[in-house]
Amino acid sequence: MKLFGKLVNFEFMRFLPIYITLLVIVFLIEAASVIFYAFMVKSEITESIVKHGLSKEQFLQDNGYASMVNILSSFIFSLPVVIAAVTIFIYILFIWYRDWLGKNTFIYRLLMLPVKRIQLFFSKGATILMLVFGLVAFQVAILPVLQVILKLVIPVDYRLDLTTQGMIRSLYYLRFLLPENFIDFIINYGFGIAFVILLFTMILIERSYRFRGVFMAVFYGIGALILVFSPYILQVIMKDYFFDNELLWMQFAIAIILSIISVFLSNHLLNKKIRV
Amino acid sequence: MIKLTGVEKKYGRKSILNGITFEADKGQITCLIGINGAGKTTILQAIMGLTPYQKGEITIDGEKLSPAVMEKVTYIPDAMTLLPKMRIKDAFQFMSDFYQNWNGKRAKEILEFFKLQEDERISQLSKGNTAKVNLLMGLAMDADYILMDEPFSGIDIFSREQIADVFSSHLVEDRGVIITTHEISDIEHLIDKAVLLADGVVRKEFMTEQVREEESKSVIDVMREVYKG
Repeated sequence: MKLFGKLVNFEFMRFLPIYITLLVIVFLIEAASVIFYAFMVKSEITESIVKHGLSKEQFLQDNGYASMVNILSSFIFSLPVVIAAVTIFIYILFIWYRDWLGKNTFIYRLLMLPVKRIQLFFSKGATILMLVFGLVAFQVAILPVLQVILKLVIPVDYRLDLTTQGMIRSLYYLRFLLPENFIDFIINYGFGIAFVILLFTMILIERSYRFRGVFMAVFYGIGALILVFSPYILQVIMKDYFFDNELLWMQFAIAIILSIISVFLSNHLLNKKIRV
Repeated sequence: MIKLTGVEKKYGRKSILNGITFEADKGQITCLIGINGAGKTTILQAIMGLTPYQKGEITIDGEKLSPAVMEKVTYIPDAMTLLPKMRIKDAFQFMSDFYQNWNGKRAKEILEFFKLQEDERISQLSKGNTAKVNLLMGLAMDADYILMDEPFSGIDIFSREQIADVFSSHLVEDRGVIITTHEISDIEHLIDKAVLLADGVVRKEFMTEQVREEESKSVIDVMREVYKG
């Protein structure tokens, strides 16, 4: 277990420079979008009241309160998070391939470590999960900071402040990543983890059988996706027999079974088939 | 003892190893000799579980390969297996984090022997120094067996001499060494056993001392007989 912790730490530290850069980009772009919005509203307020002589009430009637809600739903605010999510997705593939590619074949070293090889699989998976949780936590942590920028620029009378909880509910992807009830949390992350496990297994199939493995991995991936979505096929055949909730649980159960099979398959590949 | 019995390996339809059988004892230097493609590297990788084989058996001191058994063996491939951005001291830390049998004192001793600096980055090492660091990482482990893949490949004569000196030093004594090399002349006088390979088959296996004393032949003489007929 101690070695597993060291493996996770090692994997995390390898991505840390890129990860910190990503977090800085997220903060800078989101802060820039808040500053831009805040000064735009401020100039509208100034123009309406000073130039056109509107009262505060008239301005609010026409424009509404300035609030983080208006920024959170904008494309520019979500853009850095999309960039970070795409980077982490690419890293799900790269976290394996980087050890094979280039002159320095670190995979030799990893496969020779005195740990069960499946621990490499789990440590890379745990690293991905940490990266995602870290990104979510960072996003939640900077929301109040971003609101402070708004508070500094817009007078209180023209502003509607939100609680952090309120801001989370206003951001679609945070609503998804931090759902209000625990069951939704388990389901969302359960599907996410199952997807990562599936991708890892596909990579290991390819790394074990190389050219042939590409086809085998694609076949395995498509087969798994068909299975996960098979309840919907059943629903069509049985003419809407199931409730949506039941379909979701069926999908979830299939995803868990597939994940268990994928872990066993990956264990077998890592021990018996993998090549440096 | 590392024992291979009837090990067979294919890449697709191509046979790489065709029933390889030989033994390498502790306290001896066993040299796998053969031209490129003879299967030397594949044999070492198979012993380390780095490439699968289809038939046969490999045992280390009578036990099948497992993480516990593998701690008895250290492998020095001909490729650098450390991250380029690591400094040598980071590599030491990595090894000491993961290996119970990492001998930090010996690592420093070998570092001095090779006249390397702890602060040097792996990516900035010359080819000769890369080979030395690779060797260092393997030799600094308290392992019973050392597998070395082409340690002299592509390096200058002075580095070769330095590496060859390792074989006659206390860094190797009592351990079992399996080495593959083209540069047999550098270590001919040091090896105890030679295994001549061709097309994935052991063509001849002999104790060098015996051949020298009984037949007055060098390893190179025997190689000529086997490979040139």
